[in-house]
Amino acid sequence: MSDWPFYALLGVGTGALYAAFAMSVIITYRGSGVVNFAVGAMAMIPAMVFAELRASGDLVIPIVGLPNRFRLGDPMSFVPAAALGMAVGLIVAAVIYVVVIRSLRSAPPVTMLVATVGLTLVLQALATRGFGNVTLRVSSILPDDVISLGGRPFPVDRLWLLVAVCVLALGVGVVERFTRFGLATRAAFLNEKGAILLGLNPTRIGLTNWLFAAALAGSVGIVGSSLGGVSPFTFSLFVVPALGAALAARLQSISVAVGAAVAIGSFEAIAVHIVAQQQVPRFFLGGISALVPFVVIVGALILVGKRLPNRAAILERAQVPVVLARADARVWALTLAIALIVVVSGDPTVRFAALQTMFVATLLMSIGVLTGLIGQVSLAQLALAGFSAFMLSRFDGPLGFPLAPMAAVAVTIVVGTLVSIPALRVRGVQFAIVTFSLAVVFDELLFRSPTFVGRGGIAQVDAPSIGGFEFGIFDGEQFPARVFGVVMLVVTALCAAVVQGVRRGPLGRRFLAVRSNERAAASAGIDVAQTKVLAAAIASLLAGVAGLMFAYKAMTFNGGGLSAQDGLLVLALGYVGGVGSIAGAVVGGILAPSGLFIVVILGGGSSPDQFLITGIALVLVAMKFPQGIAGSWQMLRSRIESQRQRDGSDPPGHETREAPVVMVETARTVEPGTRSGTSGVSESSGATGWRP
Amino acid sequence: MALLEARGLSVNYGGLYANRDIDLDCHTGKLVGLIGPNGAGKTTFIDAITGFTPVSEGKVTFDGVDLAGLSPDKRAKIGLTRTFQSLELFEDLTVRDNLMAGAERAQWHSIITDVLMPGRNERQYREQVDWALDIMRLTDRADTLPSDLSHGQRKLISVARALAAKPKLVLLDEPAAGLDTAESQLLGAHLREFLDHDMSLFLIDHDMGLVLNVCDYIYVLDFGEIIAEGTPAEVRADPAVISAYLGESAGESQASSGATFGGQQQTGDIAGAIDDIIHDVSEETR
Repeated sequence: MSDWPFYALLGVGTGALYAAFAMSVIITYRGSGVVNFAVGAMAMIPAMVFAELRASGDLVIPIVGLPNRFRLGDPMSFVPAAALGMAVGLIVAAVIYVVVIRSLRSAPPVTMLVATVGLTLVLQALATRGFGNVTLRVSSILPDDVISLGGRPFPVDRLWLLVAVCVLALGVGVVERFTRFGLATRAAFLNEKGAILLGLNPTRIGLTNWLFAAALAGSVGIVGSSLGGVSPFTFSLFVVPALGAALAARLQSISVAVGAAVAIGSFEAIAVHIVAQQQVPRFFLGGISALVPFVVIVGALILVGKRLPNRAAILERAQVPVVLARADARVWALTLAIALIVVVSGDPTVRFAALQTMFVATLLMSIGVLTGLIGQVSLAQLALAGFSAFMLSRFDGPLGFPLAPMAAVAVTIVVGTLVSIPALRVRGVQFAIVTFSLAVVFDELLFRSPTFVGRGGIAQVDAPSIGGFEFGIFDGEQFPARVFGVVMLVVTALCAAVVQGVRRGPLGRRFLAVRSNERAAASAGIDVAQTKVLAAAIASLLAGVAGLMFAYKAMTFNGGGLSAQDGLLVLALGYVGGVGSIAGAVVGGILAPSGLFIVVILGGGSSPDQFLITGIALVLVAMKFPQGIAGSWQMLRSRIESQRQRDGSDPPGHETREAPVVMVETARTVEPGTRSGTSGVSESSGATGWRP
Repeated sequence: MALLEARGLSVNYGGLYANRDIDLDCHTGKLVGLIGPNGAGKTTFIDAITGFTPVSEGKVTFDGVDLAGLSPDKRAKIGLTRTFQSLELFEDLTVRDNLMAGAERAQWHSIITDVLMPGRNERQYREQVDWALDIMRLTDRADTLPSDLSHGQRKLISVARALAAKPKLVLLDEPAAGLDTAESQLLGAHLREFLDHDMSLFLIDHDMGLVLNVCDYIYVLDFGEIIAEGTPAEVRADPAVISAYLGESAGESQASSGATFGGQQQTGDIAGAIDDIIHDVSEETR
């Protein structure tokens, strides 16, 4: 107990890093309305460039397709290395702003967040390509004396880091409060139109803030890289505590954010110490420190209230368009027939890729319910699937086949529903942050806990069998067995049928009503909280089933492939495929790493490349095609159909299946004619209905 | 006993009373109106009755049920629905689905039937929705998204959505704002139709012509307090009402010269002039 203050002090170094990132998040948000998920990845680039220059003297530029490694001679000294690192970091940041962020300024907040998730994937993949998946360590540039503190050695560099960050925070505060630029930023944030009328340029203000934020995070990243080394993935997980601190400060107050971030760092260090001392039950040995930012985020959201200060931009259609349509039996039959052929194909790699595709597609249906129908961006669905997989391995021994998976899914539904309750008050960006930190908790606390996972940190399940008929992935002859693939296809199709049942009935209508407008939904007699919990339960059910697939597909597994980081990729796949439809989930599953597209069409490929392509695709989708591939295809098809109808070349009796979309098109074109003829009420109504 | 009874209702926003000590009754089968200048607290009153803003003091009963502590959706389920000034349509749903969402009443077991037999629960509500579409002349727009319709039609959707559930009482928040005189007269005619279908209406609007013509009983609100009530004829002649709209001295002189307030859509009458002013003002504030 008495040594807690010492460990709290030890943690302020990490806390200072979190604080810098939190400040960066706030500045970016005030400047362009983007909650920047990629803040850690953006700070990682200059830190990696710097560390590489210090270590080998090579300048590595995070690009592909061109020579990206330049020999500059011997390992560099601090100042030129830091300057070069910052230069590369700022150029990357400027490119990101000009290409991506600028055109997202008027996009819904959730779209912006998803785009920065894509940026995270892209930057990580580029760094892995350029530097390799290595941790670069550099000698400390801060005074690295070790003093004795209460008899224990204490490295003072972290105190210096804290001082540096506090000075920076003070500077940010001064700029924000006392300069014309700070005033202009606040004005453009509060009322963009008004700011333009006053002659301000919001794009330029956004760019300046963006670069400023990148420089802040990057410089602290460079300095802080000496604390524990830097790898393409280290800083990316720092976004959780950083976003937690920023949320606690309501994305507004720099000082609160710095305080919260340093506190998170301290508590994490204490938690690590507690675990090291084995003062907690064995169950928590996985990593109790992941709980700290989670608790801060949930606490902040409960205490600080439901609303963040909003940008005063009018968001007409805040969500991915979803059309509630009847299922087209022909499309279903055709898809299932093709899937069956693939599943029993002669090529084992194709069969295995098909299994991966079906697992991801089921998982994406879970995301589709939460994100598509109820509008909550969840980054925790993969974690829930992992939870289900581990529960299955626990239940498998005592309960046996049909009961164990059912129990695992039931427990997953209960857990998924319970964790959704504190998140009821939050929506959009905040929900995404809560679920991401939840995914980190699952990953670090549960999936690495020896008690939870099982003997030796490895979970096992037996091949499923009913009455002596075994249908595991390996039947003694083939791997993967065809029977297993067929069973998985049946399960996937059943999940799709459940989703379709939800989508086209009253339940889907209630979900979309809540997504569109919670106030109006309440006035229409819809219990908003209950509806959200219900959506979470259905999504948990699907994630649970996906988890069973994961477990039976692997037979022996640990937390690999279930991390929060992988959860980002899953969300990306969901958006790329199209988060609003079942077809989108299937497309996303086909595009998944080790899925059918990559194995069959591309013939494999390294994992950073897959991440890179998925990341770029996600950014593109967020910017240009919010409906995803499947959604865009449906839009295109209905547009062509309505065009054909207009030309009169349509065969008689032709049915338009996407009725709503088609009607929109026709309604728009015939409106002037019908208004005076058929609709008596609006006979004299102009566009606005006002008298001249 | 009245269908809706508000007794001593007050809404206090941090020391400032938006509604103060309001007594108000809505009787079954009647159309009750609430008028008042901008900022008088009309929308706050509807928010308080429907559970969107907490009541600080006083008691509201609806159909014999004390509304205290009931959430907006529970109130809607016992037959008390509303429309919004800002419409608040479900932009992702077609016109028909907007109304369906308003009409359907989920039960605990409907979760399962919704997933397994999606058509089953819809049937009983489809008729109601068709009726509401028909009465608002929206049938040929049923499969359109609201964003593709004119402002006037969007207004009608919001009213239709509140009516589709066949509630006992509908609170209409400025249904005629943004409509021209002809449209608002048509709307008035529609509203009287609903009274024949066992519904009661409560209406707030700036359109004096509409309110004075269609309402059975009118309350006048100013600075959060009821300053007058009565039949349209009584309210029209009330000096307090005229002062609230035209200022103190105007009220006195109008009252002494015996002028009445709000004619039957004659051009050039006071109500028309007031309408114009109010329209201009609310257009600007928009």
